[in-house]
Amino acid sequence: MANLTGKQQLLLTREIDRWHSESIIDESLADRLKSLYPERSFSHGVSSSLILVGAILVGLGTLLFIAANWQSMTLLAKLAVMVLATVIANYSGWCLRFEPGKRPRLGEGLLLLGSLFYGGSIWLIAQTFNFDSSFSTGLLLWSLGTLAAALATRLPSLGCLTAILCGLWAFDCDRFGIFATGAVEHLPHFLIGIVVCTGLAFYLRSPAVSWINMVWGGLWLMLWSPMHSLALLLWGVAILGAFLHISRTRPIFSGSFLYGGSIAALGALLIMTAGSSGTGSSDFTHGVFLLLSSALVVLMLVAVKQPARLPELTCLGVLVVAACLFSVAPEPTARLCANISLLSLIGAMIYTGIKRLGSAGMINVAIVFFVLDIIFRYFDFFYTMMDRSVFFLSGGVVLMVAGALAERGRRKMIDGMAA
Amino acid sequence: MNAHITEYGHRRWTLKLAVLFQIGVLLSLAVPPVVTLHSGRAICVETVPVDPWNMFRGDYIRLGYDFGRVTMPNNFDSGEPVYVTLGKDETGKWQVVSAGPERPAPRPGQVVLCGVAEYGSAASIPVKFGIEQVFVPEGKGKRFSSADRLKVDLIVDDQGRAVIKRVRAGDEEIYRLRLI
Repeated sequence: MANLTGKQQLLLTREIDRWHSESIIDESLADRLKSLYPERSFSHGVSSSLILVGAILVGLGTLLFIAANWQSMTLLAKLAVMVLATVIANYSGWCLRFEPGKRPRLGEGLLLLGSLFYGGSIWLIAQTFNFDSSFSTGLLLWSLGTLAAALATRLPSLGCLTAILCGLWAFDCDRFGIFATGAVEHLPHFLIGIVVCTGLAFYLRSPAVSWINMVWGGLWLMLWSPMHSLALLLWGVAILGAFLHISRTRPIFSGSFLYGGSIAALGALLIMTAGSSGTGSSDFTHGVFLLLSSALVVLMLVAVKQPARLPELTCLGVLVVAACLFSVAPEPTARLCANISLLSLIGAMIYTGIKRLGSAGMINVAIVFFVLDIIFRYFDFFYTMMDRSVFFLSGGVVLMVAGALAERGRRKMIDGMAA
Repeated sequence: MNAHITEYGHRRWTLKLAVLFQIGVLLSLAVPPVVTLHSGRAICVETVPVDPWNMFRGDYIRLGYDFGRVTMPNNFDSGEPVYVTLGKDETGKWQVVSAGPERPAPRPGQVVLCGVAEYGSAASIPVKFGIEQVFVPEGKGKRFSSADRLKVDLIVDDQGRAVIKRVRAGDEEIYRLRLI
């Protein structure tokens, strides 16, 4: 029996009621059909969201209260309030979440609030004693405490908070403005953060944690590393390679790995079509060597585990080696090669999505990037050559036609896959 | 059912440990400055403010001290500890007497501050002591500019660790650390 989403289940129930009212089916058949798809409580998603957002707002309010530096309370009074709040939120959250017959969603919200209070206490102490504005130390301590709570409770919301804090710590916000100069200094932060968050995502079986991990990891490489878009490409290819293994062994993560990897790889190539991805500095060379080796090791490991995926993995391997080579070529050559690589990857993803993996998601992402590439090229070639009004008019028409063709083509492909 | 109870009990203990860890982190941050406040010696120094703002901690005034930049006998790597001895001059102001990588035995009337060297040449090395900023109530920090001279009361303990006790602008008290 198909596993329906809330919206699908609601639609199906309404349709069965309509068939019954129009006497297409009798009452007993309607009941039997409905019993095949038992009603789910739609309020659960809403109540969870409301409670989690409420907990986040209370936590933010606490941080802002601390930021206001209200001096009417002594340090000990403020500290006692924060520590008691942390303990009470954790205790009551525990009771409501894990003891039978209570309110598990409210409990989860309170446990999240407990970790936010803990973070607030760190900033309170730092503020009171005028600690140096070493932002990353506070974030590290906060993420360690939250990690401990996430491991203890196995709650995805705490895992998400830990992943966000690890990401912020890896970025080291104190020096956020100096892009591309702190890559070597902060590489250990990045590696530790990625390893911990990936392990946490698997431990909690949480695609949300995996998503957050991929977003900040990709952003870190794009903004911090000296290779910028080339680093993002290698990162995306490594994740795509891992997807080919994960989709078989841990299907729960296949969505995050597929979309995270393909968006990163295609996005990086699209950026590379606009210009150089870095410089020829020693940091650049070392970074390329390190990331290329890592990506190739991931692809080889997946090839050992999934020999049936060897053609896809070989293509990805050729792509990353070619990208590393053309990234040091003169700019016009590099841009041309990036365009060819982008179109090749889009074509390969559509072919693989249809013929080998049966993945509609892979086809959708490829088509979106094909349309984006058309828009980019349109701006590249025609923006300075035509009158602005003609430019926008003709561009709009081209996009509408391309969209209609893409939609028709995509539907045909997906119908073909289903057949 | 038994398996559920065992799992429940195991998780309860691990959460208790996690919360204890969190409280331990908070205490390890709070206790050392409290010890300094109780055991240290008070000195009063002058400083120049600038007024940034921190997302999590609100208004703060960055403080620039005369002894925040010292001359060293040799080249120094950043991150290494620097001991700066302060003594009162004839006008009663605390001035740098000496600075070096080894902790000296202070003479009567002197205090030794322990800081960390930052990037710079031996002729002039910036040193951070962890007292370069003071957090003030929201909106108060922006009133001061680099033209103002502030007076800062510090408590310095035997290890050279310093904590800001009070900050004044003229007769106005703009910050005071109240423990209890």
